[in-house]
Amino acid sequence: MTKGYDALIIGAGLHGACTAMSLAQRGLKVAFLDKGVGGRHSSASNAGGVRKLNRLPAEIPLSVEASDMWENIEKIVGDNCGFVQSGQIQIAESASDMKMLEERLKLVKKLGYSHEELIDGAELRRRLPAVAERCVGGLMCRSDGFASPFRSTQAFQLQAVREGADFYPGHEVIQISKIASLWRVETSKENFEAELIVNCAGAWGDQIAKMIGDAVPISPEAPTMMVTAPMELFLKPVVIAASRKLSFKQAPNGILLIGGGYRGSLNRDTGETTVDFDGLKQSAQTVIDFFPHLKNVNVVRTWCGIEGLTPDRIPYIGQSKIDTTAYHAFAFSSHGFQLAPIVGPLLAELILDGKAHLPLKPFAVDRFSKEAKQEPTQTITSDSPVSHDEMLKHARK
Amino acid sequence: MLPTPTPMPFDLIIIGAGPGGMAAAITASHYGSRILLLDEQPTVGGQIYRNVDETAASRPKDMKLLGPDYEKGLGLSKELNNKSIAHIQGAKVWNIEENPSRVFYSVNGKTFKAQTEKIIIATGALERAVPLPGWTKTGVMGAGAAQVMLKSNGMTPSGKIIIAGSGPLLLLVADQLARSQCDIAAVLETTRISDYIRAAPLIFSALKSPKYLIKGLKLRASLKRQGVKLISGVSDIQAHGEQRISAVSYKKGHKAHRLNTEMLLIHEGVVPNVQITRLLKANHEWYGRQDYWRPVKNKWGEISCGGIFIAGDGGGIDGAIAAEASGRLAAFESLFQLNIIGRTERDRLTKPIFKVLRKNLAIRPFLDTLFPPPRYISKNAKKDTIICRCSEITVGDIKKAVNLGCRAPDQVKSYCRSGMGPCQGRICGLAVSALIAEETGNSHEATGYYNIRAPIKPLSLSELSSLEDAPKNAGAK
Repeated sequence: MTKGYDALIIGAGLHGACTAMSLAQRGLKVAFLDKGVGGRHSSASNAGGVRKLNRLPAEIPLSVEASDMWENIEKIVGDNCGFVQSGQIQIAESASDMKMLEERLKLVKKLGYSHEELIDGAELRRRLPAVAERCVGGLMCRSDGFASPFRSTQAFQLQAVREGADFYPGHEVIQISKIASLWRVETSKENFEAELIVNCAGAWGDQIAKMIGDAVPISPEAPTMMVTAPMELFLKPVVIAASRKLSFKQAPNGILLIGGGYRGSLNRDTGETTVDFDGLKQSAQTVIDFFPHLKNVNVVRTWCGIEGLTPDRIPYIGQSKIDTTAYHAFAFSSHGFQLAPIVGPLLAELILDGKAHLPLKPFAVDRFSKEAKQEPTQTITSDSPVSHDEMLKHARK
Repeated sequence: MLPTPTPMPFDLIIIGAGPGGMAAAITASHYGSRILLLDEQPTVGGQIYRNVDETAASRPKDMKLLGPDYEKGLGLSKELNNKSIAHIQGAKVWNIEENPSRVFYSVNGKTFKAQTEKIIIATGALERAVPLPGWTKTGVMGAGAAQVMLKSNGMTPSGKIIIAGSGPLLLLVADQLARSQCDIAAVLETTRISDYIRAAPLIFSALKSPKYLIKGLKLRASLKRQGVKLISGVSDIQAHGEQRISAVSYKKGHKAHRLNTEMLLIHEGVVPNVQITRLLKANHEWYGRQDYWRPVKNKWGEISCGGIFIAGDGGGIDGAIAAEASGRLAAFESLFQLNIIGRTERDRLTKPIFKVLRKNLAIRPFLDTLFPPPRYISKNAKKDTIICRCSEITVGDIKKAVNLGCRAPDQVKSYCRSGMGPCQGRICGLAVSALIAEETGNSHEATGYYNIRAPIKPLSLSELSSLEDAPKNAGAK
């Protein structure tokens, strides 16, 4: 049996669920489907940082608006998603780190934003009393924070359903074709037909794009997280580092969540991942270097989720280049969590009004089809720093 | 100083120095293979022969109390100490990887990874968690755990004790504690008349190895002789008191009873410790007679991950003699796969071992049917009974998660954080899965089990930051 809809969304992670919610709110008959339960990878297994701090310039307008939405997240999705506005601090370990952060702040100000501020060593120690002696200052964003990825994913899915979207977990897409003006999507269970199709398939987004007819490059990676046993509360803000891989926070129940971009190995076909403990060795050392008193804290759990990365680490958000009834929003390059509430509404505007109220040009799906050869892929990791040059390059685009 | 470590694969790493692990190490060492035996405890013996060397050397009174079944461990430990087997006590294995096989372990605050051709997992059993109302109160503990204290350092519980539950170990512990002058108020047996009736037809198989039956009858007689009150057919056991237990209530027939006590030792049998085999994503099967999961294995103990074996109770609860036999079988098959011995030699050497194994397994259907684990956690369980003690998650929390649509233990875990504490679900795993199965009406197989991830034992950040290749002479004497 074939089911008919106005719009069909592939992928039920945060961005798929939010897009389903937005389109349903605008009166469309919507279905969102997923090969699994939705959001098993990036959405529900990431570090949960709600971060404007150190965003790529192209993402700043979206991130700033998303930040306001996080403050009212309960009104938007009916659950507060565990959001805590704790602030985020990027720590400088040296004078050259500090210089880099100063340059970053100049750039952000030049772009007309004021959410980032520099703090000196004394202020850093006031906010992070346990930080190592040699840390000299940092860049801070007061309105940042963190939320629970699992709870958020579930809340967005439930809200989409409340708005009238139909959710089909366990429906793996096998083939996509276009018959007359209708997209026909064959899955491992039922088949679907719809006028519009939106690809929110995360690390599998390139495969769905290919079925639609777009060649969009991504590289799948498996960022690793580790979690410690609960300990006395000592850390309020989320901490990242200026020149090392670290993303670090303490949840209200006392556990520490440690991320930062060390990669495990993965199998995209089975969705299985393996934690790389040689990488986590470095991660553990970094934590001890920043917070020496944590050396005896026990790690009780580690995991990976599969994430899609674009060559320039800017996600794909926009219309297909071969068909005006197909759209993409995927490969958030391991910093898509904070953007979750804004992408759906922007896509709904793009689809139904022909134009979004924020600039989406840097997110164009075909941006690598022209210049793929002249620009080699660079390794920029999500929660780890991006150099000033890199920032400016993106800003100029 | 340790020499500069170079990655040098071992032929065989054996995890656990109970009867299975010791027998495997002794067997393989006869053939000059490069072995490393890792054991978490300070001394060899596992749970059954725990600390047997030291008890024999310095506590003869306890040795006598613990009896000939415990003393048997001395033979293995002596042989192990005589051999030049590389062997580390206090080594905590926290991760295993397949292809290539690597074992990650910590010892004295440092952590290592060792490459190996073959692995024998001999990590034994766990006392089944019994989440009856009040089980997390101070003064409630496993009867097996109480016996471990007796073996480790001769300590016995003080004050008035009630011992409750079922299974072969229950009466043994009761007898040992009674003979060490503990004040046992009563032994409450949850075995019902119907269990005896169901087990009766299996008695003929059990009679192939009658010593197990005789042992049980002897214990019963000994307890009676010492004036210990045995109450059978008991149900609905609950622990009462504020922080500490002060009384136990139970039902016999339709009548409710209450006894004051300072301690409740509870035991409903032991179950395979499947943390490592689950971590490896090996295939597991549900064993309905005793309500536990065990890894699927062939006759040599090889699990669905090639070159990795399970020996002893970790592969199914069969007792110490069977564990020793299965350790030897796994060792011989490893030697064969390593081309150290030929097929004919393997078959000749293992024939008598299979015979021992068969004889010792004959009792199992009878015992497993006579002592079915009672369902403390069921639809009727009290909502506020704690099920995951690390995170203090209750029966009600799990039911709520199921009502919200969670169908698998991992979904429940994501939702309410059960099984996410330091024990990594080792304690609550079976009970949580059983409750989900009962709530959803799905089978145990369809419900499944927690996805177990490394580290399976807590690992400090400084330990993790010290990770390096194991020196090739690791554990050498």
